[in-house]
Amino acid sequence: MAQVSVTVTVDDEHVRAITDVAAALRDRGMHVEQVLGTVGAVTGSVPQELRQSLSDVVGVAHVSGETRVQLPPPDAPVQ
Amino acid sequence: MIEPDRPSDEQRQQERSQPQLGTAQTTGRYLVVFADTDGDPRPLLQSVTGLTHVASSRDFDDQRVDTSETAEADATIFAELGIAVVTVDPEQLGALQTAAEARGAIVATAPELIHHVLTSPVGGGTREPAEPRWRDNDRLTWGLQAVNAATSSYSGRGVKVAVLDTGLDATHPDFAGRTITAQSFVPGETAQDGHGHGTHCIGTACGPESPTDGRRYGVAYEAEIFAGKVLSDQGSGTDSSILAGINWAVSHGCAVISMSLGAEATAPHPPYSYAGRRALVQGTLIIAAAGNNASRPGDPGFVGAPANSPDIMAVAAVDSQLSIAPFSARSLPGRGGQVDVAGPGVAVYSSWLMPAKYQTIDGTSMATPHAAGVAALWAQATGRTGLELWATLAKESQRLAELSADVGSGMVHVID
Repeated sequence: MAQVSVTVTVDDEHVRAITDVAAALRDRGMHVEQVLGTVGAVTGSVPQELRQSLSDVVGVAHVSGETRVQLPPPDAPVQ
Repeated sequence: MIEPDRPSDEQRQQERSQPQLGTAQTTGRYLVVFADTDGDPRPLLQSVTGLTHVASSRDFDDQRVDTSETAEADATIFAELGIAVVTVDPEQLGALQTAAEARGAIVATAPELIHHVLTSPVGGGTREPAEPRWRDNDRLTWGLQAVNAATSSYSGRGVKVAVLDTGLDATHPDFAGRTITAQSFVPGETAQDGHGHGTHCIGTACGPESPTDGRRYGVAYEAEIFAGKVLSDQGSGTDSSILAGINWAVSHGCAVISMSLGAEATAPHPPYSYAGRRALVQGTLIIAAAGNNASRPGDPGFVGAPANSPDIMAVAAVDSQLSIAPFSARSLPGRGGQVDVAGPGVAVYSSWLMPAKYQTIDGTSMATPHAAGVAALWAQATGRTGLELWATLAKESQRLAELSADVGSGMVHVID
């Protein structure tokens, strides 16, 4: 099963209960790496075929794939 | 000497004390501005000028002043504004400006102007650069001069500034003795900068008043530094590291987060949109680079993520002529996709990894920490945070002869 990185954003009503949301995400098969209570996000990974089901968890506003940012190499003139 | 083209301090002082009226018509009456709006200024006004007919907005229901009733009055006080319109002779005016009892209570007097409906200009406007050109000198980078950090009395003291980037070179002597909280959110790496980008950005936002070598390059030289490493020594980072850095900075009460990073996405990335809004309501303003994906004049590019989130401020780069940089990304049409302000982002000199120590480079990455540093000075000057701080940066930015789609409300600028 291919694991994909995900960022789950918790809705406003459930930010205070983010640990409960994280527990429910674990029950759905997500490997939770970080529970970020101040910004209201849970990060981690999940098998690709289970990703869709995370959206059904109560308190979840968004399930996003992980984007990467990349700076130019240190000797590039434009940073 | 900073710039030969600039007016001297004396000239500027004179302009301040004697507003230039140009061809504006005046009514012969004067406006008097009181220091506060709490008390009743009527007794003071009467005793200094000897005027007897003084009307006040507090005499009217709902403070709706009926001008037909105040026409006969020598003075009308608009109590909530702390301003009075007075009919006085030169001697009385002099008393308002110099009387001992007025000192401190009256902050300004000015002739009442006659305003007209604005008419259309005749002929087409010409595009003239109204701004002076800037250059680095022995004491200061051009960027510090352009944002007025060089003359401002504010230093960022008492303000926490987070820079989420590749970390900081802790061996750099210019940061010795500073209050620095460093934390890595990159698995397997310490907060030590192995790239240079983070040390450059922290230098611009928070570098020292007196560097160990060369000219000053840091805006908020007494700010408390939070160096969050969210990008690896190879310059790459993930949402989880960046969000963890934001979470950390907000939790520590940072007034400003500077993020010179981005991905080339035209749609706002929901995690940043939520994080930006939640940071803002908790008093943390996130300032991010608009992006370097333009290749002007042919391709104006677009504002990438996270700067295209509605509650994250996007910063464009301008050069020392105050022209848009060829690489600086233009506003996207959607909500949040706009450039909000601009900062110095071409030929920016700042700290770099030892032993190189200093480096001069370009990028919206370099403009962003200028804006963050200026935000820290405004936070110190006004006590404002969050959306109020955002509004202050936008309101006070210096308008440029460039498209608003490219530079937003203009060059970030701090008060003296």
